[in-house]
Amino acid sequence: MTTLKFVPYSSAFDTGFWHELTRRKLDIYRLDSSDQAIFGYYSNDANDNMPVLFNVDHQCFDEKNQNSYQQQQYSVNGTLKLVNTIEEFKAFDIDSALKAESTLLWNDFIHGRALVDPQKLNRFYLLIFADLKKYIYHYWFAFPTFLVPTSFNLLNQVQSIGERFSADEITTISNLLNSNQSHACCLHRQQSVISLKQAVQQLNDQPQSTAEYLFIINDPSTDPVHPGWPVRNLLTLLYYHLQSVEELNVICWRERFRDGQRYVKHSLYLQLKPESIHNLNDAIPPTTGWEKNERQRLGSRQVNLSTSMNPIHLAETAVGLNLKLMKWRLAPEIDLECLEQTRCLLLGAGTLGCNVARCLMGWGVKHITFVDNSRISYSNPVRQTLFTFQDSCDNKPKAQAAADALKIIYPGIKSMGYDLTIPMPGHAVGDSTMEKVKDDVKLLQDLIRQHDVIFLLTDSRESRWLPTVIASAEQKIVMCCAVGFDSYVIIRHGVPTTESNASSTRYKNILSGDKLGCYFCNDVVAPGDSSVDRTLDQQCTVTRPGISMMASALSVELLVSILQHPLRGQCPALIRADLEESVPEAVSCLGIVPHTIRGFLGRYSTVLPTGEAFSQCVACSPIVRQAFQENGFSFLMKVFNELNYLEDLTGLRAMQLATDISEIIELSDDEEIQ
Amino acid sequence: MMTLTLEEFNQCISDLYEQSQQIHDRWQLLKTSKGSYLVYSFVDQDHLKHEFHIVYSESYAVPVLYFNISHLDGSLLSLDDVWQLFTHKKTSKMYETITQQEHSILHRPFFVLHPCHTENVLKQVADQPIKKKFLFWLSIYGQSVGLPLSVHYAID
Repeated sequence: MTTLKFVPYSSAFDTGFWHELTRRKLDIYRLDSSDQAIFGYYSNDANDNMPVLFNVDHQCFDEKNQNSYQQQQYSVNGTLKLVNTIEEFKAFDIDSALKAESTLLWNDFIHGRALVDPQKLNRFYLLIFADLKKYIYHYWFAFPTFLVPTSFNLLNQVQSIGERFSADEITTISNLLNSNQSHACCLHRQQSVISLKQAVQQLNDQPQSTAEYLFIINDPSTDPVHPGWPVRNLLTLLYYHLQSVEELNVICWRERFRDGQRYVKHSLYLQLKPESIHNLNDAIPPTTGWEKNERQRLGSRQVNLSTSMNPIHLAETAVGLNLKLMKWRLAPEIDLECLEQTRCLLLGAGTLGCNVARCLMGWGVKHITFVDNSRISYSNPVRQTLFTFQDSCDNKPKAQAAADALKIIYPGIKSMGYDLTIPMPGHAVGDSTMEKVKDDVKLLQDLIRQHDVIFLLTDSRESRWLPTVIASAEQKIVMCCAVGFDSYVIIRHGVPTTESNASSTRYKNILSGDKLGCYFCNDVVAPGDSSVDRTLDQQCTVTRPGISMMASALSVELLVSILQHPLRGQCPALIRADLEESVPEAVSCLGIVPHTIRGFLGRYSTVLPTGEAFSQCVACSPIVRQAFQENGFSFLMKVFNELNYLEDLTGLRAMQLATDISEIIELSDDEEIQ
Repeated sequence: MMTLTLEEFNQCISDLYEQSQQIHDRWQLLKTSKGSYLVYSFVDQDHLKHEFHIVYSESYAVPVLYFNISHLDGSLLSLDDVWQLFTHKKTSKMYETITQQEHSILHRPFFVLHPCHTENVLKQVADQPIKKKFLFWLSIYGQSVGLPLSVHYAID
């Protein structure tokens, strides 16, 4: 005689189950780890080659939801144990828990409750530990069943009902079971449906009539020879209650619906020789039922849900997706990854710095460093968009406060702040402060080296000199932004190339990236000369508030366009942007890449001049760069301390002396100083 | 009208649910204080669970199809994984409109076919009765993300 073997369950979770569990843990259970009643379900309508699923979903916590299940879904009551620590989980006494759950099941069996209500044929136990910092859930299911009888003896091989019954018989059975919603029942003489209790009673009265009884149990398995767990429990129940029955007929009922048609022929027909276990004296027999893990060993499982539950992950995904959608729908050639990887150094964390940072974040830039030496004052928060009133009460250092503010807006940002004074030409350095200034220069140099783009957003002309020199030596992209009362200028500094002056440009209308000028190129005096009143070097607190936002936004948009161009900082600029002639080399997927943008709010107008690098520029000329690279700090000390040093070095002094004031004529933007 | 009112939507999903019960299909109707919605789920041959939700969008006044694909332990597939599954459909417009959003009732992430094109789609059946419009919408959107829809629903 062959024995019947069963397929164990595979646990299956609905994503919503984990969300609901988390919510309950946080709002309801909190530290209470006592047993909770829950329920799960299985179905008898799976497709072939599917594991035997035992499901729990977000409705399982509330008993009221049990009845909202649909056809072909059969509920199972269970116990949830949600422990508070991983140690409790690992040290958990699984034997006792299984015994306790099995006792409930056993009592329902021996006292006949399972005969009255076959829903009680099954139970389960679910042990969980939820790590709500990492959103990792450790779990272990147990489906109690009994180890007696030791084997289920079959009188014949397992067959499908299609092999055993005629088509008519199957139709009859099908029709009888049509409106049956119970987990198990019995067919008498293939004419009527009776309860398990009735069947058992009648069979005990007349055991010889056993051929007239067909027990029906909904079976979640789709295996052609092995039924699922509910069948095992049904047989255990029947073997306990039936006396002297020689043969038992069981159908493991499986249904499938396709396009409204019902298919049942794959249901199994079992003919068994029962083995009475009635004399057990009601002591609970040994049990088994803990689910094996993925490696088929007796152990727990875990699932990591941080990507769909950790809010920080969710924010990252959403922000990334937003940018990708823009790319997919509107600008397919845009390179978003390069933006994400571009490290930006913002010198100045005031009105311009705050707005530039905001716009960079909108583009998905992840590395933003602020440098500023001042603290937040009461007038700042209304214009400096990263600061609050409380920040000004606390008088916080701006650079750090700005970096912190970015993290509150988007936790995935890598932001840093440095409290640093940028040494300036014309601002003397005495012996006592020399070491400090040397350290400051070193720090500034390191910061420039560690970043890809430098934004010059400080509130004075002279503070932009040293970063220009260093960035030029380091061949970094520099975005210089300066504002006046109702005007602004944005200049992308030329980026020197190590290659020799390459081929002459084929087009007359463009200027290559290494030939573009810097902020200081148009000057005939060195910075630090404070006797000349210029619009664009005033302390910025006297500008129209909109100017800062416009200028900051334009600097970032210009930067993004630069980064999209294959030559990046070396990308050329059109000399006359208004000319119709289209020059493909000077265009990125976002449009032209001007050298300078000057805006005038009084007239709502913008012009796009292009300035060539001045060979005697006090900041970006080869003379200055070489002096800096060769003599480093001693060169700088001369610049800081000696009033005319830069002008002498570059030959500007000589030029000034040679120029007769009365001969100065009006220079327009596109004329060059030879 | 190219849109549906909330009442029309609720009527449509109710009808679909009734029909589903009759043909023993798997649609579930869930009623919550935040609104009612339909759910359909199945497990495929690779043991991935596909879940589809039909929810009403107040702002667009059209139905929206949310979906998720998860492993049996409840963990979700990422957007990249979902794209892999649908690569054969790249040529269709659907590719541009799959995005991830918070389900308006359950407040957890779902993929969604963005409703911005729904009005356009419904234009083709603008003069049909509401139920037919709804089924038309469902068959177009559902088909592009693998929702099986029996032909029985089209039969009155």
